[in-house]
Amino acid sequence: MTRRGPDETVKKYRIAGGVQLIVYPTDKFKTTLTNILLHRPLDEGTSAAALVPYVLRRGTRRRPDLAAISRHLEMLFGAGLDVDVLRFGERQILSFRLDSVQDRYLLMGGRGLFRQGLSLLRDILADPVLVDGRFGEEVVAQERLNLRRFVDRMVDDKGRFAFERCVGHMCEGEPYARFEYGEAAAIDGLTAEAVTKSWHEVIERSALEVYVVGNLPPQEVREQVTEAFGGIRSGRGRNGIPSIVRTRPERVRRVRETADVVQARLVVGFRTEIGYDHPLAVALTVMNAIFGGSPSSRLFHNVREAHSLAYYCSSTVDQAKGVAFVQAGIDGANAERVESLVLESLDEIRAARIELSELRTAKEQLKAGIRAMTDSPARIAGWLQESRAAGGRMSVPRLMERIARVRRSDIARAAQSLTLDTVYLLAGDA
Amino acid sequence: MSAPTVLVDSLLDEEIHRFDLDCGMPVLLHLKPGFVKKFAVLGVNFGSVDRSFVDRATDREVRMPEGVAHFLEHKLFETPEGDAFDRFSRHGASANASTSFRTTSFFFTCSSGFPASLRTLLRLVTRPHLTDRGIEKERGIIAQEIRMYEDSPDWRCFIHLVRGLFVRHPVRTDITGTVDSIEGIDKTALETCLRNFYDPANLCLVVSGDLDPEAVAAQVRREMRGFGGGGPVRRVPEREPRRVECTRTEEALAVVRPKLLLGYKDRAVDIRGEELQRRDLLTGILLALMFGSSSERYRRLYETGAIDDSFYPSYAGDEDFGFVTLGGECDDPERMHSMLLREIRAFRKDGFDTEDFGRIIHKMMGRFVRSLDSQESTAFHLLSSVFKGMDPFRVPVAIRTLTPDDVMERYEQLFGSRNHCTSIVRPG
Repeated sequence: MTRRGPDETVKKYRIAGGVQLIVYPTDKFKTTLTNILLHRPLDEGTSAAALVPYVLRRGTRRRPDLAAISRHLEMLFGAGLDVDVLRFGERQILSFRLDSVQDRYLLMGGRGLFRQGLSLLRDILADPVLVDGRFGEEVVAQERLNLRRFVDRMVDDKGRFAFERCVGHMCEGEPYARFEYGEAAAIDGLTAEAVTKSWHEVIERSALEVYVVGNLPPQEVREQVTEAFGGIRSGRGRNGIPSIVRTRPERVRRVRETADVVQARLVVGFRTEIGYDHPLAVALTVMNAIFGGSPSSRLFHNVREAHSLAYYCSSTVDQAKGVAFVQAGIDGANAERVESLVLESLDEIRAARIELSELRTAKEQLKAGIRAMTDSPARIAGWLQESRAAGGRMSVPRLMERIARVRRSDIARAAQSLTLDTVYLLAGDA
Repeated sequence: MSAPTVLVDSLLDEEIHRFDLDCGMPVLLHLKPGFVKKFAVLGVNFGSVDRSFVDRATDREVRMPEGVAHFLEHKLFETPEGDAFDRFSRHGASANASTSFRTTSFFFTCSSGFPASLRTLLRLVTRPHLTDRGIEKERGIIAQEIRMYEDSPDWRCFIHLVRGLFVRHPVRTDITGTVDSIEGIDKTALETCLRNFYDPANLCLVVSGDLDPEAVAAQVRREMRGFGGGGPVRRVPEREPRRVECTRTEEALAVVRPKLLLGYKDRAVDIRGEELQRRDLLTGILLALMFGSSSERYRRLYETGAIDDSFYPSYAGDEDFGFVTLGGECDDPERMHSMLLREIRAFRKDGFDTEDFGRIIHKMMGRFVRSLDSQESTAFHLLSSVFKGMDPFRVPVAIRTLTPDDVMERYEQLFGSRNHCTSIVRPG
């Protein structure tokens, strides 16, 4: 059971056609993860682009329908194929992910699963079923309806719904306000022609990145990825799509909306000018852990535990945009009280009233999370993507070191950078 | 303590050590060399279905309010030194707990400070600290949690279905209880449950990571010394008739589209061990052949728009109950309902070919191997294997013994009885 495998050093290659390949060799897993990401800005084309992965997943020339693709995945020992749309700052990312068992663990024989998986991904991305050069009308109609329903269904998830509504109000007119899966009205108007055009644009202009996490020699991965994707042109320079950072809201916006809910949802939105490249970037992360990013945080204590005012109350920071949010599930009658408690908790941190033990706990938790990241292929791929987007200079040891150096005064300054922008409440008719 | 058993699967490159403590608690250690993360789960064979039992202190049969297992799960995080979450956090661990129909689980993940967090985990159950004030406060938090579930149309649709399928079995009750039922939970009730279910023989610890088996065993032995030993749990089973409570249930809720779930009540119950493992594997194969995304049926229904990607066949079950659910969102629940009944009937005639069967076997083998990459899912698999008397590594072997005839036989068991119920949630 002793393992002497490849060292976990990231290898980066630019292969023919401008495709970026990032390989993370490791022998810890029984699977190989291949994740293809296409980056584009959040803009008026977002709805059409959001539909592209779902239409592509419907069939390739070689495997022309869903059932044929599923049958192929089953023969690849239950390989998992997931397509998704992500939001990162003001970017929309189309994601195609395949994970498959390594050849050495196939209990019934079988070889070359990585190569076969790459070939399937390539076909899905670049060799779909086309009728007269376009996606089939029926396929587009069905996936359009599915996407529309998916967007509508968000209304059923009240926590998520309240969050998206708050973002919509707070960042009105900014790309960030766009929902990465598109907008209902725009989705309904998508034709097969429009989606086909969007696919061409995505393939030709978007930066294409391939992430591979698994026990394969990087050179071999490079050869196989070149073989599969070398013929695909990839856009350049799109990786650095900037976000609009607004730090000083003119006034605090207050929005109350009603819905048929038993539990009210409060979302408090803040702005910060601390992005990934800011000297206080890591301090802001530590600040969030103390404020509301963990079960040992202030919000968890002050709102949930000490006052029994919420089932959940937590904070998140998005440094790709420079925004932070507090979300809570509460009794609508307590909204003002919860809001005051949230702001008081933040004021305490702004005034550097932080116990050493609290600081140590927050740092320990963050470091533990980073270390544990290396145990999950999907999280490794996510980390590689984020650190690449953040300028690619952040290694795990360097980040650990920077966390260790964060002082109370840094945290207070990071907290001071948070400016209240929008207070949003979704409550029942009462 | 008995000598450890070491299970090694050389082909899969996995190693598990099992120790059975003198107090009766099994300890399983899944070695994951090179992994930074450590995961530990302490499982209690006590869930929402365990409401009636003979109390070992009074020798009398008692019946607990709905939601008592879940309430106790919450409350055990209270310690004399404060909230256990804080202790875990201070050691760099992140902890949580959950309650299902059959099991209460307390777990944490960490990358360092494992012994300190393991001690905190074990002390949750060896040194409970219940106070009237703490119980009162928890009631408010749980009531909020219950209200959150009440806002989830999927959960509502599901729980209505279960209540329609079962007449008496306590699987019918909400895991969290209701805002009313938790009013009836007090210190005495919680202490009675602790005394009867939180006994080493009814617990199991599973740990996973790059750990020293002997050091873990020594620590667990030390922590558990002098704990429990009250003998086996005396559950009072409910005799569940074969029939269903009702064939249809409907509710109007704030949803955009109707939701429908069709459930079938399983006849293959009151089994354990290999037989249970076989039942669960066959169920997976059968549902994949009938409604999996590679099936001709799924393709046809999807392409004609009768189902969309919210459609999902699934099975929930344990030793003494089981049921299949099929469904998702639809425009016309009546149409979906009759379509599903028709397709289920047609399967008996249509069957499947051996190529389909072979492919599903490939898939299940691969999925089992893939699951080993997740420390959490492997640990939960080990835990449930212990509670259900199954050999966790037998899965690949068991899969290979299954035949197409077994699958058809399973079809008859599940769908032949016509013991079904439909739960519909309509926009209202």
